[in-house]
Amino acid sequence: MTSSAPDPYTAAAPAPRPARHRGHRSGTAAVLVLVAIGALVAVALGVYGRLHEPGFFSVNVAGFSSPGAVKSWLATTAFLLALVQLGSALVMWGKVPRVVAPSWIGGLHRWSGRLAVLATVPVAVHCLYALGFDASSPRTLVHSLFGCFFYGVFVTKMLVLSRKDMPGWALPVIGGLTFSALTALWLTSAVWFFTTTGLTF
Amino acid sequence: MNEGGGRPMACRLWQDTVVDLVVGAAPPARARAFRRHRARCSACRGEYASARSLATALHATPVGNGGGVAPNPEEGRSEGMPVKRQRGPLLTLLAVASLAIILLSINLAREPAPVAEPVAAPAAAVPAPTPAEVPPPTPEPAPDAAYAGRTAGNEATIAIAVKDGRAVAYLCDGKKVEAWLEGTVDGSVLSMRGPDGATVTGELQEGAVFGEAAAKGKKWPYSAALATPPAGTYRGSVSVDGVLKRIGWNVLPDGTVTGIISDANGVGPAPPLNPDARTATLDGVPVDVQLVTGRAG
Repeated sequence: MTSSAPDPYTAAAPAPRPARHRGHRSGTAAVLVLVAIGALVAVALGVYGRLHEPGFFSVNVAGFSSPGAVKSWLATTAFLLALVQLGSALVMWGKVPRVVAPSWIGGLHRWSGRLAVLATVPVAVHCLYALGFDASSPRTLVHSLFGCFFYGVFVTKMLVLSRKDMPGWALPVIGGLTFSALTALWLTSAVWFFTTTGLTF
Repeated sequence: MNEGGGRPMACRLWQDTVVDLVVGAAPPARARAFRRHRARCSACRGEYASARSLATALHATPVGNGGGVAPNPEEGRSEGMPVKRQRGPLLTLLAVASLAIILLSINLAREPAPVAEPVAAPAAAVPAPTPAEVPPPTPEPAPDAAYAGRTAGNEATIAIAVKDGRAVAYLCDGKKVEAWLEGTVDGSVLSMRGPDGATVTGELQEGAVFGEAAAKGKKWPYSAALATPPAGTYRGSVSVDGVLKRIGWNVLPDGTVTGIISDANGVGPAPPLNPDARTATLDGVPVDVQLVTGRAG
């Protein structure tokens, strides 16, 4: 759990803790395996989105004017939770000066993350099923690519979390990529939706 | 967490350190110093042990792994927590995958009937477009033909294309209700199904179809006369601002055009169609328009 960057508490320590059980090399190899699994997930989603004939219709959620509005609000929820993710991760890793991680920060991080990713699932299913991988405009192309990437990197992150022999840099890097991907997805979907159709429910 | 009643109290000097150690915020030097002190002080030993077990109870996952609070490097492994494989993230993965599969299967269960494949340009089944808007009443009901008409109360238009024993219908009220249906022709009986329980049945009689159309919980009798292009059903697709939109039009023998445009966000009235030229534009973007002549194959 030691990141490569110095933090206020451990900067004076002689060296970050060496990778957990085994040496750094096997840890890095294990990360590569998990990254490969994530990459396969991303590619599989992209292939499905490309090959599946867009159904164009999908189950709507009651109470909203359109699937676009539902998706935009769900994505916005996920993005706000992702901000909680970023903040709690920084606190947990001692990156916020003069803030000592409270005992509940781990729970906050886990549960905000779970809710965030669960909120994205209906959005992604609708995207994949009803719309597919769409390269017809820059926005949809970027969105499609990041959508596939996000779930790939999410799978990798969950797998990294479940292992103990990961090098210290793995989690911050992969977590950062997850957050960045979600931000890009939100910018290319919900923000676009709200700026073109207005703040509708 | 060091104020619990009945638990041993650590030396005042070390209370903060105990907390820092448990949440993983203690610098290594302080951790080492505490360990030396703890070896001599049973109160601090007890406080430390109970603080750790409290932390275990609070956290679903044990301290000393990647899921929760960053563990103190010096203390994480050797004592306190049992180290086991993290299952939380895998359960999260499982939950995400399950939700996705459930939603996907709901969608699949409601899958609309496959929509007719539009055949580009006037196909063999349909004579070349004649600008005349007079329905030429051909006496013999050819196996491959198109029919267009309205429901009895003029609630919606309907056009049916028959080809090779297969029938495709488009039901459209020009405002909100539309359905693409597909089915078979058995002798003179047509039977078609669409998404959300939409059905169209009919019987071929002397160059016309009479029957019943049902969609969105309503049912209407209809009649459709033999139609030659430009009368018939047209499909269009267009991408505006990166949003793919699909359009269906029914052109009746009298020249009436009724259409609906739909995208992932809903439906609305379609832009006007020029049936003779088979052109339409939406927000200045030309629409790809094709005549529907029934499902090929």
